[in-house]
Amino acid sequence: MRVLVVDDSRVMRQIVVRALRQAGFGSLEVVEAGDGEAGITAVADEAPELVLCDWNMPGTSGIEMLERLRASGDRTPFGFVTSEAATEVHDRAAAAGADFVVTKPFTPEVLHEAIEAALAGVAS
Amino acid sequence: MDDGALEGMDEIVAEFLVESEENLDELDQQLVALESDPTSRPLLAAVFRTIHTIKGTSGFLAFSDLERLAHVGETLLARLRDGRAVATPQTVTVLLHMVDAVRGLLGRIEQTGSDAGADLTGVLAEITAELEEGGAPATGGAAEGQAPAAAAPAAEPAPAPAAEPAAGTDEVSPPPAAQAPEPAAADVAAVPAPVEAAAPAPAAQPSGSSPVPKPAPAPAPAAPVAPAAEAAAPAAPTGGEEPVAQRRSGEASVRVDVELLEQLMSMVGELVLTRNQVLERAAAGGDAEMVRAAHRLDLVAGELQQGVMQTRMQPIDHVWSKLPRVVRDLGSQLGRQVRLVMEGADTELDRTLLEAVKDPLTHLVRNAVDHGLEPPEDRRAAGKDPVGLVTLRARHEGGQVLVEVSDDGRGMDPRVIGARALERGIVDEAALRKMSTTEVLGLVFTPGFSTAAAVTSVSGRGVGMDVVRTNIERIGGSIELESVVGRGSTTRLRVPLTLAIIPALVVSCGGQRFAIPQNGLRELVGLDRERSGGATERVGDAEVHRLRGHLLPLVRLHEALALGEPEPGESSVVAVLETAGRRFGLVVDAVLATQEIVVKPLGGLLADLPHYSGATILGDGGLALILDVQALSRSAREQERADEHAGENEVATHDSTQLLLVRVGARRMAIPLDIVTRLEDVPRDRLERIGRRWAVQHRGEVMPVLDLAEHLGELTSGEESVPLVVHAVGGRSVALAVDEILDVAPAATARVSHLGDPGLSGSAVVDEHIVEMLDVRQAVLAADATFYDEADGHGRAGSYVPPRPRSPHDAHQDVRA
Repeated sequence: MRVLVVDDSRVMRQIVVRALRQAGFGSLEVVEAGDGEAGITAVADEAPELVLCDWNMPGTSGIEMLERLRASGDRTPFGFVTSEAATEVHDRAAAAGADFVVTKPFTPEVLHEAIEAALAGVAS
Repeated sequence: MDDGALEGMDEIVAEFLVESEENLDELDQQLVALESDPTSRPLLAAVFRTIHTIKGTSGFLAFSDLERLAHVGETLLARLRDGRAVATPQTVTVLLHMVDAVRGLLGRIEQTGSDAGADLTGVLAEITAELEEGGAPATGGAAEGQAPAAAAPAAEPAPAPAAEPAAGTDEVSPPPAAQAPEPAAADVAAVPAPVEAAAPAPAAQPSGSSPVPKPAPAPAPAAPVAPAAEAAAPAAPTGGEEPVAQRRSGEASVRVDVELLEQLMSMVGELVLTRNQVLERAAAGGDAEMVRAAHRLDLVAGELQQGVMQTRMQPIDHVWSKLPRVVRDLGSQLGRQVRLVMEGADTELDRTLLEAVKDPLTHLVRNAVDHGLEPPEDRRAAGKDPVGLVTLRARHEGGQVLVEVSDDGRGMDPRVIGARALERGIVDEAALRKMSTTEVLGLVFTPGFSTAAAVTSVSGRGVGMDVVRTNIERIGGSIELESVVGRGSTTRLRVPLTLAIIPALVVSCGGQRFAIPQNGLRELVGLDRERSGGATERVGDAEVHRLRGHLLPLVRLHEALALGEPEPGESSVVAVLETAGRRFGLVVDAVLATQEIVVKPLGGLLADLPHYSGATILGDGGLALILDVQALSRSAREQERADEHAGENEVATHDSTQLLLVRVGARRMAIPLDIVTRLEDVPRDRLERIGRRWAVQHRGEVMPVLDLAEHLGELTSGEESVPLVVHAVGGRSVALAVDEILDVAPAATARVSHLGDPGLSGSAVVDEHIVEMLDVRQAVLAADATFYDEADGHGRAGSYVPPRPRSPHDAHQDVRA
């Protein structure tokens, strides 16, 4: 599976990638981006099957990135990985077309379930 | 969360430390900038984000103290970001303390692997107090946090694409600080949002916390902060102008181990050496094809070297980024208002050099704030902006990096510096009179200049400008000072781009080849053996060369390295070298070439050898040791101390008596040069008390030492290194310890005093000033009562004999007879 991980923190990207591996997504191909702008470019260039994105980033934020992707017609499954747990964050994510929001800190199991559900939703 | 949740944590923790450290450096800068622009949204968003990231990550890594601290800090920052409070200088101070505490915890993690055990009560209390002061009560995080929570949906009933509910973060939080050591809410594993498309049941909660995705919004209708919160929303997007934004993009760059870069550099070094050899062979062989191939190799190797060097380059901002904080803290401590401007922060230099300029730069910036800038009221009185300006500039210039530290403060008065130098006995008045303004300013780099009187609690850290200069010169750089009284000062550093490959002069001596780094090289002078009697002469035990009317102390490489006697009759070359503002001549057999050399460190047993800073391989495959100019300069100093000022003054006319001028306590004394056998410097701790006398071990023998200060009832200034004036007759020596060797000067007149001053034999006039003449015989006897019993057989007593026309050479011969 090809996953794009967008986060301005290298460590957080590393944590997400590690959690993905531990969640059992063995044959992972990971593309990383450090902000929303780079993320949008990476979606176009790398055609990932899934985007895991931070909310709060310098420059183009996660929600902006999602809104721009969806506005351009892109439908790549998109999940937020964020420590923003506020309701309106979730609402806004949903409204913009996000498939799920996973709140930090999370466990590999939680990540796994969220992703499985999102991918299943796409498949059906 | 349990430790097993994520494997391979060590690596992640290490990465976390690196990343956090980088972010904290930025944070310091951003917070300082915030002080002058307390409502800047991009700044607030960036500062918030950094702490937010640290909080989020430490949650994963189970650093609960760090998480708690970052959380409280975040709460305060969220309030600023959302416009519910405005940062005061006090707020900034508190936030800086938080950053320091975070640093402390990171250090603790680095050392012990855990953040537990640090005392955070002080800083937590500070932040809490700040939260309470900020108007919005900080009691019960929930109430405080949920006000905007309720407000936000109200302000934004439909998903408005432009706005972002910026107030969000507060809600995640457990109540601030102390009560909640382990923030339970933050531990909630996953809260999948009820999104229309994918609507599976929310994931299981391993921690057992409530899976309810929507915490009931607290009814807090009175939310006057809502507009502010909304207005704050665009902050995050606009934050994109900061450098943070472009820096990390997963695809455009990779991270490489520094170790690997070092290896690459060293291999490129080898390649450059091999290229030099191939070029030489190809040129000699005359095979046109081979020559072409060699030139291609030359080109490619050159570009490869450039490329690899480029990878080791880092912007000077890495060092500068720490300075706003330094300036801020210092400014508030000293009551100075300071604006720090940086130009050319992206100027790159080799990372090893970057490390080397860090301390000198910090010192210069501290000096600028402490000594350069005046207090605001003085500035106002002088018609200046009460806010002082310190400017850092960096740029590439002629293959070097130029770094300037300027202030618009009071400037340096050459008269004051001159007076201080006189007072400290660094120069005498005659020498001072001849100096240009730049030379006078340069006196601040002299060891011993910036001492007690200049020490404040801030800048006087025992590191004077002389150390700054030494450190800059050690890396092949130079330093100069420019100042206009009342307008300010500028210190200019020039450092090489890299240390790995340097231009050097290859010389031969005693059949071996040596490389001299060119940055200290001033000129080359041929020494004609035929005429060498006229061209070199002796002062005490030391050899000097008369160069354009100035005396240049000489070091013979043959002697310094014990290479044996040079071939008689051969001419030699003097390489005029300068280090620490001091010139000396290095006598070698011949100059062979100038060449770019690759510096190889000396390892193992060779590393401790003095006089060498490394080795290199020359074009023909042979080895050459690289001479350490600073070390040679020191050995020049050990050999003779009468150099510095003798070198700067006019050469004495031979028909008058030469005097060695020394400082003893606060007194300037003269000692007839003809009784001086040699001058030495010994570390004070090598002086040993034997009974009521002092002695020093010298070449296996015990030499009595008389402390002249004690002898004359003066207070010694007690430097670490003690200059000794050694008087030897007939195999016996005594040493007179002085505080400083000042000069060698001709005495215009001298007379015996009959006043019976204790310890003195009379006075002499030097440069129109009267100096006291030491009664050498009395002093020598005080050191060794039996000295003359045997020595007198040689017919020379220490008592000063009134001058008679005589060449110093004769005197010298006498003493050595």
